Parts: sequence; structure tokens; C-alpha cells
Amino acid sequence: MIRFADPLIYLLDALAYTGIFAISALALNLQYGFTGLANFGHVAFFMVGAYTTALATTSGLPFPLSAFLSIAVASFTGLIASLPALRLREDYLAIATIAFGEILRMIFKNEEWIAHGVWGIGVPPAIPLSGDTREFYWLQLLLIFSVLFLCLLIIRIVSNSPYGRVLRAVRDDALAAEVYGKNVFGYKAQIFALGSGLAGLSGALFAQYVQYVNPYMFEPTLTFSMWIMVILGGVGNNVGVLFGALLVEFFERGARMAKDLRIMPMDPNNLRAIIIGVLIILVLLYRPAGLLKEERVKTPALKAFKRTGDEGGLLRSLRKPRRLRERIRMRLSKMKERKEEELKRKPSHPKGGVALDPGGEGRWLRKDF
Amino acid sequence: MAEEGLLNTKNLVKTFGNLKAIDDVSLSVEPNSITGLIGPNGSGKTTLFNIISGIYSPDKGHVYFDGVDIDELEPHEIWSRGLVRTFQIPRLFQRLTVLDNMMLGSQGNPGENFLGIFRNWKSWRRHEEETAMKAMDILRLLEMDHLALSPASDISGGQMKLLEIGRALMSRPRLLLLDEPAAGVNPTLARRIFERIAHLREKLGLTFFIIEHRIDILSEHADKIYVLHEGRVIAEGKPEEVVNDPHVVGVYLGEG
Repeated sequence: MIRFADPLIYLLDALAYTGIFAISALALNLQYGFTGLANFGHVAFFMVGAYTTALATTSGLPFPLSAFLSIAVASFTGLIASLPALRLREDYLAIATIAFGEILRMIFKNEEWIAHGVWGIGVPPAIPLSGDTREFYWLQLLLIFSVLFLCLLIIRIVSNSPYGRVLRAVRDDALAAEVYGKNVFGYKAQIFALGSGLAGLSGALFAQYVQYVNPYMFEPTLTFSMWIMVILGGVGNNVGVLFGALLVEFFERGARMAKDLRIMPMDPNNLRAIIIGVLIILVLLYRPAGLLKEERVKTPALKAFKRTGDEGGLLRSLRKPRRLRERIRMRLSKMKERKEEELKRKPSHPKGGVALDPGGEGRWLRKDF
Repeated sequence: MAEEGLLNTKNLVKTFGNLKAIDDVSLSVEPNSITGLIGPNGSGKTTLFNIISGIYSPDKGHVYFDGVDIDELEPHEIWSRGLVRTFQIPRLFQRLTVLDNMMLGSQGNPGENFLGIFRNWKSWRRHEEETAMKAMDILRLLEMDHLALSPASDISGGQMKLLEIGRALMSRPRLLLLDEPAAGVNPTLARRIFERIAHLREKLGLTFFIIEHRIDILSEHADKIYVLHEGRVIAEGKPEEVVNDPHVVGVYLGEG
């Protein structure tokens, strides 16, 4: 399909992959970033979506219908998988989901009656192939990015609603959320199903874009590359996750291009792995929240607060300089408190010691020293 | 079954391995009262609260709230019946703002279920505004309104304590279980918290069940105090009687 002579195709191809995996990453962000569910089997639901579309379209269903079918089947699978797994603690949930993903992949690999096992199955694209390759790619991008936009819109609405606030509460302290009347298990199951459904949708887009699926496309590394998108971009920040997806996919596709064009004396894939690894380390060290930080829940409550809060000059306190000054003042007073405590703990020297620098490091020296 | 109080426990037993944390505890909290629960460390006070609020289920015995057996219910179901608790070590939603923490304490938000976001678009937005006003009123009461938009992890320990109480008040509860509301708070503020509690009891007709080590402050306001020791109720009655009970004094001072 790809004509190696046309560099624009590489760019469009990278953008298409970005769009497809951004949907999955957004879904993972909904699960991990907002709700705190460490789902390490995300690729399983992506795979279920891809296979559903593959089977549905080859049996003659139009793409929109099979995409909906993908969402339904993937979220149902997600719900089934989550029911036993969600009672587990975060780390065990991670192990359970990764195992679930592998089991499902093994089933698709070994049960040849489903989709030809390792031989894979061809998928007709949603946009009919024409002679013009570029036109095909542009139309694919249009399709993928309109779906992505729709998903982003829905996720934004959900995360800036009372529902989204409850999700974050579940993430921060599940027990407290439960004691404060939130059906924690219910919320977790819903988000697992919703995230899986979105992953299924992106799997459907993937299948029709690549026009072929086989079990080797859905190895656990794919889950980790989705995780990298979330971690690099910003845990709990949807726009950040889009950046993350762009970054990861451009390295991924860039490496493919470099390999095809043989412009490097080494395998560019290794270089890509090194760069991404270094990036993760740097981000975790210097911006642990990701490139973009999580934002406040934006509901009318914030507006109402801003309207009423003005009496006490609160609106002014919202402006940046004041906040900075306040933060500095807070930090200074905290430092002062700590110092006072330290001084209280350290008795002066029994033989009439004298403080050389009482405000400094708390070094005490004897007079006759 | 004839029930006297708003909250009754009947012969509660809870064991952890070989440890009998709660051993045949029967007590009752009268409506519109302030009832205290005291006892040395490890006597089972918090375990009792955990059983009442549904975090643990008892091995034996029952908990009745307003005449209904609640010991098989999930914590969130108990909350929606108007029984709200706070924690000894504040359990706030750390990455959310103080205001959001308060908002989470409110009841019946139509936007808190998935379909509700879209179906009840207008009504949850209105509900949000009204709840925010109410939250700000309570925050003003606690003198924390200037912190409304800071993350809960940034406020001081005493303010976390206050925020927990504020969050509990958001839901218009009928019974509040407070686990050491005055611990880690400065003495003036501790006194003010208890004055506020007494005031809320008068004004809103709330009922309080309070664990507290500051017996001096507690006995000023409590109608009745239960003393727990090694999982058993060893004394109950009016504060002055309990405080002067030789057995209680012995347990607290370690001469029993």
C-alpha cells in the first residue's frame, strides 16, 4: 500500500496511527488517570474491537455498524473481565488484566475457526480504495480524527461533571468515597466498560485502516505504548494524552520510515526505544505529573464560587500574582514554624553557649571555643 | 422490636484472629443527643465505628439505625440513610480542591450517574451552583472559605480535620459519627468545634456520636458517655458520673 517514494504518505500514516492510538490512550486515561484503575490489559479490548470489525465487515456489514458492534462487544468483554478483577487491589488488578489480555490473544491465535488463527484475516477499509493513494489517506484521516474529536468531546464532558468528580474521588481514596455514599464498585465497573468500549472503537478504526489483523499485532507491548502516551502526556489531562500519543507515534512511525529509507547505520527501532526510555525517565524525574498537569473539575460550582466569593476579595486571590505571593507566604510561615520547632528541640549549650547564626543552620558554638 | 434510640447496637462481636476487638457491645444513641465514646488506645472505639458505618461486618450481633437493621448494608447505602462518619486520620480526596471535597459530601446530585450527565444536563448544573453556595457557607463557618480552591493536600492538619467535618455536614445527615474531631487541633479551635457541634444539634436537630480523648471538652457538651475497654462497655452514664467512676479512672490511669 505504502509507496516508499512519497514522504507525505509517511506523515499522513503517522497522523492516522496517532489518531487511532490517541483514542485508546484517552480511554486508558479515563481508567487510570481519572479513576485509578491500573489496566495493563488494555490491548485485549482493542483487539476485541479490531476482530469484531474484521469479522463483521467481511460478513458484509457496513463499517459504521460494525464499529458500533465493536464498541458493544468490547465493553461487554470489559465488564465481564472487570467483575472479578475490580475487587482486587491496584497491583493485582494490573496482573489480572495483563493475564486476561494474553489469554484472549491465545484464543484468537489457536482457535482457527474464529479468524484463521495466526494467518490473520483481511478487512475491507471503511473508505473504498481509489487509484489515488493520497486521497485515500486524507479521507482516512478525516474519518479517524472526527471519531477522535467526538471521543475527546464526550470524555471532556464526563470528566468535568459531578460524575467525573466522583471518579477522581474514587481514585484518591476509594474507602472514603464509599463511606460518602458513592457506589465505588459500580463506578469502577462502568469506567472499565466505557474505557474498553472506546478501546474497541479504536481497534475497529485500526482494523479497517491496516486492512488486516492477526494475533501478533496485539502483543502486551502495545498496552505499554498506550501507557507511555498517558504518562508522558499527563495523567488525568486529556489534551496532554493527545500530545503523548503524537510523541510516541511519531517516534514509532519515524523509526519505521528511517528503517525503510535506510538512512541510519543502525536499527532505528533501537534508537527509538532508547529515546522513549530516556524521555520517560526525564519526565518522571522533572515533571512527574506529565507534560500537562491535571486540571480542576470545571463545573458550574466553580462559577458559582467565583460569583459569590468576591465579597471577601476571593476573586482577587484567584489571580496569579496574589496566589504566588500567598504561596510564598505560606511556605515562609511553614519554614518559620519548622525552625521554631527545631530550636525548641535543640537546647542551648549548657555552658552558656552562644548562637553564631540563630537564623541560619542552627549551629551553636561555645564562647570559649 | 422496640427500639429506644436512633442508633442501637445489640450484642456486637468482632474478632480479628485471636483478638476480640469488640466483645458483646450493646449501646444506644438517643435522637438529638451528643453521645460520647471514650476509652484507652486499642479499646475498639474505631472498630465500633467501622462496624456501624458498614466498613466491617460484625461476627455476631446487629446494628439498628432508625429501627432498621443495617449491618448487612454496604457503606454507601448506610450513608444515604443519613448516617455519616468522619475518620480519625482525615481521609480527604487529596488531589481535589477543598470545594470539590465539600461537593462530594452532598446528596442526590443528578449528575453523579453516567446517563444523568446528559439526561439531566440542566438540573445537575443548577444543583452544582446551589451546592457550591451551601459548601461556601459551611466553609465560611469553618473559616476556610479562602482555601476553597486549593488542593486538599495543601491545607494544614487541623484544617483537614475541619474539612472532614464540613464534608460530613454537606449531606444533611441525621446521625454523625465523629472520630476524634478535636485531635490535632489547637485547644481554642477544639473548643470552638465542640461549640459548633452543640449549636448544630440545637439548630438542625442533628445527633452526634463522638469518639474523643479530650474528656474535659467532651463532658461539657455530652449528654451521655460510654466507656470502652478491651472491647467491652465498662461504664455508661452522665459525663460527671462516668468521669468519677473509680473503675474508669483506673483504666485510664493504668491502675485497674
